[in-house]
Amino acid sequence: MGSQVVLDLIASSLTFGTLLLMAIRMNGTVSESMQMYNGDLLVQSNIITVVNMIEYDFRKIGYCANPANFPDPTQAIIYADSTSIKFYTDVSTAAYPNGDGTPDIVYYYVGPTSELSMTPNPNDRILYRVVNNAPPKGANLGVTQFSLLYFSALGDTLKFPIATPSQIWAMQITVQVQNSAAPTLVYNTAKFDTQYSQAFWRQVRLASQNLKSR
Amino acid sequence: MGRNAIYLAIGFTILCLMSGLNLSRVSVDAFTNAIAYQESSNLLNIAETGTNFACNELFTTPNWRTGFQNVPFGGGTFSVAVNMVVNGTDSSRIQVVTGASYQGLTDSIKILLQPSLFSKFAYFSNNEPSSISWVTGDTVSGPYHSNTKLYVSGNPVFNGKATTQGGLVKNSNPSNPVFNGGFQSGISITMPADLSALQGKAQQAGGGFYLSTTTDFYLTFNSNGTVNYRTGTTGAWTTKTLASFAGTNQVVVISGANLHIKGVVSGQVTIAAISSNSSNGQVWIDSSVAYNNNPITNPASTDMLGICATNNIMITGNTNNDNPANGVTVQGSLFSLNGGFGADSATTKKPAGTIHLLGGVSQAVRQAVGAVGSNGQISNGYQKNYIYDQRMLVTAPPCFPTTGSYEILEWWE
Repeated sequence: MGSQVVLDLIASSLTFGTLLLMAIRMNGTVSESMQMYNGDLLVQSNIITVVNMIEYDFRKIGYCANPANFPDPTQAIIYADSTSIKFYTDVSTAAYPNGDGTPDIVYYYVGPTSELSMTPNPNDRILYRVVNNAPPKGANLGVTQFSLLYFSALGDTLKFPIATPSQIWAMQITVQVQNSAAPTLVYNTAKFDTQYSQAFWRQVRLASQNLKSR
Repeated sequence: MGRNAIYLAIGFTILCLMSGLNLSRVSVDAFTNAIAYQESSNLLNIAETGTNFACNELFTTPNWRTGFQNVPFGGGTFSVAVNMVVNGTDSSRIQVVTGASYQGLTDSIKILLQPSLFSKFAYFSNNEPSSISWVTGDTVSGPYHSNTKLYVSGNPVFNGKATTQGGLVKNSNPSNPVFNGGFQSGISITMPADLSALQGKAQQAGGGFYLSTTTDFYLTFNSNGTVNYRTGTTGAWTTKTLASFAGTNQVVVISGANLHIKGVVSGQVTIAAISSNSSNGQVWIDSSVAYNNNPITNPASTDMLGICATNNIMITGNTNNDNPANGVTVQGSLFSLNGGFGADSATTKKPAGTIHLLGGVSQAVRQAVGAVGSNGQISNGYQKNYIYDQRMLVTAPPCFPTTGSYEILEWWE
């Protein structure tokens, strides 16, 4: 009787301990997976946010609700290089959803990586969108790459520096977004990809309709 | 013991189900995001398609106002409405509004169009001779069009949008023309058959000044907003204000003879010489004709002159115009239906200075204003200093000839 009980106790302990270890392991694996998948989802959401903002503005390069205030759309792009662009457009407001008829200047550029030194990701930077003379505002959406390539009306790639922005007929926009912080992997260490989740988007050819009119 | 084991098993099952639920939710959210972006892109493409369909209708049938209703395309639908837009006293503009729907989403595109006028061109040529090329050092500062081909040699610069029907021909190697405003070929812009529309405006009661005569007509603009005019070279001048002389349509048409002009324009007017006879229907610029308020120094200037002719628009050969120290200033938009803009005895007279043109030239055939010697310098006639009047991108002299189609002013999406 006594030895049977002891054996039962030992077996029970072993069984329970095994189950407990399994539960703990499963919990850890699931939590880590959840962090990774949530990170992927966050990166995906961020890149869609960035892309929607860029496409919304870039498709209106040279637009003005009152054409008399901006008669020559070929002068729409003020400055352009591989990581920044400044152009005229007519920004929507709550009072004037299609623009107020006064040309605005929108400036897109990326800040240095040192601005986000507090994040574990060493490559992330802020993508700034500045309207007229407003203070630069940007959000940390994990942008690690924002690059632009420009093409002339004859399809030739324009070399930098671009002395005459009016030569720009179309552009290629490339955006890459990563997680600002990556989960510490304990269980899912067999990953062949980078630690930071990332998403890549490229618009091979974006030509604002207003650049081609008149 | 058995009961506890069951409880344990149920607990594990619930835990696994919850984890699976969360994982699948994340996957579904990611998929939903990707699909949402794809759908919004498709929606925009459908809206752009509808807009392009409408533009095609307008370009082939300028008075098309029917629009489209729920046209199926690409899994969605688009509808187009065409509305008139009143801008002060100008009701010629139209707005095209396209509404698209796709998978429960909606989007819209709005574009503003105005009649395309020949005055918008810095240089328009119905027939560009193949023997004349645009060369290094040539600069066209506004929109350019040729209904034949664009012949280039070297690196001419086109700061405005350049269009041709027949394409680009490079007559030298290397040749790298610079198109700062873009380049498109396959574009055909038909010149009107005649200037009857302008004549009709002048013949309306109180609409303008119309005279049918076989004697040349002389018109001098004064900076105080008046004009002096007479028929023939003798006789008294008549003086009137430009506004009363040119009528409500602000047009002056001389039919059957030539029109001679000079002076300082204060106000807005389009003048024309019309004739079916090739020796008449010409405008002669007897001396400089300039704006009282120069738009170069004052972009808000409202002075505007349109110069139209059935045949040539010519710089008169006379002592004043032929003096190299003077040159000739011409400020206005020029339109020659069957001829071009040239100078009297351009290829035979001595160097006569520079033609300072502010405006644009639309012509059937390029004419000579001077000749270049073997040393590359002007040997006869005039040098050219043509500056585009930027105001012509959005405005025009009164009743200036139109291309018969619309152009897009703004595109909002």
